[in-house]
Amino acid sequence: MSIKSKLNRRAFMQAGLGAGAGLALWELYRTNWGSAAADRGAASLLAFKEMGLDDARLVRLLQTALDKSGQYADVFLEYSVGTYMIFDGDRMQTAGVNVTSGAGIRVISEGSSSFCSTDDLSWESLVRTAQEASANARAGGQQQQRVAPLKPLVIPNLYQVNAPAAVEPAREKQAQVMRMIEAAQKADPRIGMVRTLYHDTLRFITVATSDGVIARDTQPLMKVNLSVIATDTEKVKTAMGVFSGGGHYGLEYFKEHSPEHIGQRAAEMARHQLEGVAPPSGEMPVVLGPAYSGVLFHEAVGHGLEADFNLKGYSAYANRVGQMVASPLCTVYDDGRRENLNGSINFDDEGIASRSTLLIEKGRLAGYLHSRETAAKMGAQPTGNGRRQSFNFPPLPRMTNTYLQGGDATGEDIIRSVDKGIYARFFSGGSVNTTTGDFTFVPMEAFLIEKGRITAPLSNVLLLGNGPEVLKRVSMVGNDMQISDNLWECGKMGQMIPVTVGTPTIKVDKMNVGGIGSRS
Amino acid sequence: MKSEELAQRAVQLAGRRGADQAEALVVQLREKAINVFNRETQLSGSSDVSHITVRLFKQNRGAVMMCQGSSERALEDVVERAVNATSQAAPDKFLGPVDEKHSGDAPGDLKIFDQRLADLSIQRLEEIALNAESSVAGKDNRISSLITSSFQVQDQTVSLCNSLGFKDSYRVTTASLITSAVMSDYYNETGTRSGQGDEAKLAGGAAIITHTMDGLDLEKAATRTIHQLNSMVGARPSPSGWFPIIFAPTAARRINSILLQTCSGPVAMLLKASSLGKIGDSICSPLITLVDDGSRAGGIRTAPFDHEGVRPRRKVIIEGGVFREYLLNSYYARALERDSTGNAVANEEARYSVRPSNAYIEPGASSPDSLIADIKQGFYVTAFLSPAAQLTPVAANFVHAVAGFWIENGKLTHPVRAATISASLPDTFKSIVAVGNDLDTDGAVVSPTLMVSKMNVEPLL
Repeated sequence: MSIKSKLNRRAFMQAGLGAGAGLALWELYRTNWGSAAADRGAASLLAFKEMGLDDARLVRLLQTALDKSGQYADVFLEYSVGTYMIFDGDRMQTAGVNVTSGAGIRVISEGSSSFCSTDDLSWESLVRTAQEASANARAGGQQQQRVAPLKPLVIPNLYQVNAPAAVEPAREKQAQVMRMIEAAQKADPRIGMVRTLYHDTLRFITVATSDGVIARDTQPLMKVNLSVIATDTEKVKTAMGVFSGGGHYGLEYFKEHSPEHIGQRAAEMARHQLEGVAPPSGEMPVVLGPAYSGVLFHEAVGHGLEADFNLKGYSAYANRVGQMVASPLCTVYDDGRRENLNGSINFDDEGIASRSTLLIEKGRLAGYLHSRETAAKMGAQPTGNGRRQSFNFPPLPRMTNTYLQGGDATGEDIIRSVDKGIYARFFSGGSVNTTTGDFTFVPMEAFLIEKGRITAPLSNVLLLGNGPEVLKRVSMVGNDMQISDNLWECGKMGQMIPVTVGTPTIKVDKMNVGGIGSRS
Repeated sequence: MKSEELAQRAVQLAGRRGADQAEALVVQLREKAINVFNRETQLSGSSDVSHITVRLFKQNRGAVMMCQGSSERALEDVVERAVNATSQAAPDKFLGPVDEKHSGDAPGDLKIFDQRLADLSIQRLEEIALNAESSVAGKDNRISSLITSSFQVQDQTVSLCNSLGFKDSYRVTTASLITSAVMSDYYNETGTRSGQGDEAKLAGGAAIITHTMDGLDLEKAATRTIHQLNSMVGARPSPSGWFPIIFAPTAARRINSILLQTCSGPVAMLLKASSLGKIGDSICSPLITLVDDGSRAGGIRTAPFDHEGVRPRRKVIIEGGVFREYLLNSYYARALERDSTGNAVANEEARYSVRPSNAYIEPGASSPDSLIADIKQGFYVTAFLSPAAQLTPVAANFVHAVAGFWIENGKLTHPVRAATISASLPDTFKSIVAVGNDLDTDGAVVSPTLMVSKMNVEPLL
């Protein structure tokens, strides 16, 4: 169904979208959403059209940026609009509107980057920003580089949606959210507070580079996060549960993923913690459940495979390509090209098409995740992982959708193989030292394994270990690889970006488990 | 002043588009930054961006618009959408801007702006970052060549206007210097650290944040960086059992943050969930007096008004262990029938959030050295490894992964890379038996050394 038949102009304007490019956006929807790569480009072009930012002007900006001897320059234009709703229980506490617009201009000269950004997209401001980036760049002493003729990057669209959630009527979004809230409230009488944040954005970006790439994209994103607090007054115990959903989807997401599931999972986690017993402590086998445990590998291993840390020698994986760094059962990919996933991108924020990158193959380190800058310094090819939070930040090598490939064992076999240990299923967060790979993770949902069976839920569990060590101790890999339906945001050097994780069930022979010990 | 005009314009627009009340916060942020690595500049950057947050209220319903990019037309369009959005929200009688007569008097010079910082050129930033790197490199010959230093200066103009007549602006400069270094763990002959053998590397870093050029102490950054590295080299596991625990100021500030959460309006009102207790209760050891002071000259979170226009003041939050005063913004103050304490911070919620300003536990009488000297066997904790989000007063038990030094016969013997410490949360806070005399107010949430009589220690690594 085309957008034209679904929305009239008034409904669109009331949906909370707008700002300067409102009319341009409307033009886009009249021309049909997302059916071909050209339309995505056209959408982004329209968003910047009224500012007069056509290809010729972008070339002039790039040339200005290279004025003083830079070897490479790029211009990143962003215009994003979004809406959000915050609920306390079933009451909508806040309705909100977000707008972000601006440009980041970068010059790379003699291995050093100069980056300047502005939120003023007027031509005068952009020229000034390009001049500043040029002036701050390291002097190279070469003759001035010429900007190559811009050639559009055309690739298949990974986020086909009926309509971006950002332009849907508020009542349709609210109806989905109310279903998940009700499911959480009904799940257990001990559930007190339910808090829900619904958020969507429609992001138009344009990347132009001095080596001749012009890439335009329109990225729809929708996410919802529900958290509960449950209290057991008899046991004087309080517990939290949290679950989320969404990705590069429109509201059709909720046809494939029931909103009730989000509310029920958050409630279930809180219930498991209320009923949890104290964990054993010390070194023991730990079985990591499918999908969500991927966050542990993302944090404790994935960041160590981002090229910037390796370039500086900070990572535990520096200078190890070709060496065994994990159990031969482990194969790890970062794949930015999975349809609709939170971490997927058509191309990265440097105009490089996203791809699937093999990081670890049967235990052997195969390569790193690169931005243009790290690839140039390490003599590698860019991998399409140069990402940034917004126009206001320079790109860094970042993960997209990172997962461990499935193996042969069944999940049941893996649990059956453990006499006494822990099954950890969902994590609320963790911290990692990228240099040593040491991590601390807090499972929000974990169970005791006794004689090959999952028995009691556990509360107050901590997992400590070393990422590279844990990968070496993987002794069984399940055939049940799952991509997490819970969304993750990844933070690095103050920049947050959407990512996805995935893993099959994994057995780690030995990991340190902490808690209120049964040993003391 | 450009940002004040913008704030005023947004409030007027909101009124014209049908909002009953409105309030606009504009933060114009000019930023310069340098990253240096091994004496080479990796990145230089500058940005000029305005963040606009407008809260609108119509028939007791609230909406928020947040905007980066401030063209007149964009503003007009987005304000209209936000006014329309208010009709979606549920009515809430505690929402609304702060009346100017409740804002208090403007304070004198708070020493949060330094023209010399605002005027620093990118070239000068680079020199300072390189000097910082040299100071670290010169401190310890076990440091390998991998040192990085990042230096950033922000010059912000913050303006606030509301439809009840408040209008004011201030300028604040903030310099942040982060130094970090890598040390190889050669000195680990006695350690049982598994796996990484000879190639083990340790990274450590430290940050200095200040509003003034004089506060930019490169020597202090270097000393802290080296101190952090030394707290990891040659680590061994701790014994297990119940032992006295001394929290160094670097870890004790996280204990302070648990107390501050207990005393904040949102936790008290929405969660009703701190296991430490409620206002009027004795929630911790009588040795603890906790002060929040947003008016302290030069303080990291010092400002002439909070994000709702309330002037800062010094408040005793916990006195002799008794919970005396909440941290509040205007929303929670109305709900709890009190006055705002000037702790509002803008976020995406129409009621805004609450955060401590400059919060410290008052120093006690004990010197940290004498506390350590009196312990036969115990744990000197220097860092929490658990994620910050896990340090909450909601859980009934205090179970955290920490790092530090093991104490034997009154002396620090060896670093401990990771151990869990645990006890019931109320017991932990009641059994604080000593407060150090070593308060350093450098930081927003700080504490002197704290000693807890005993906790259960389990070795991890």
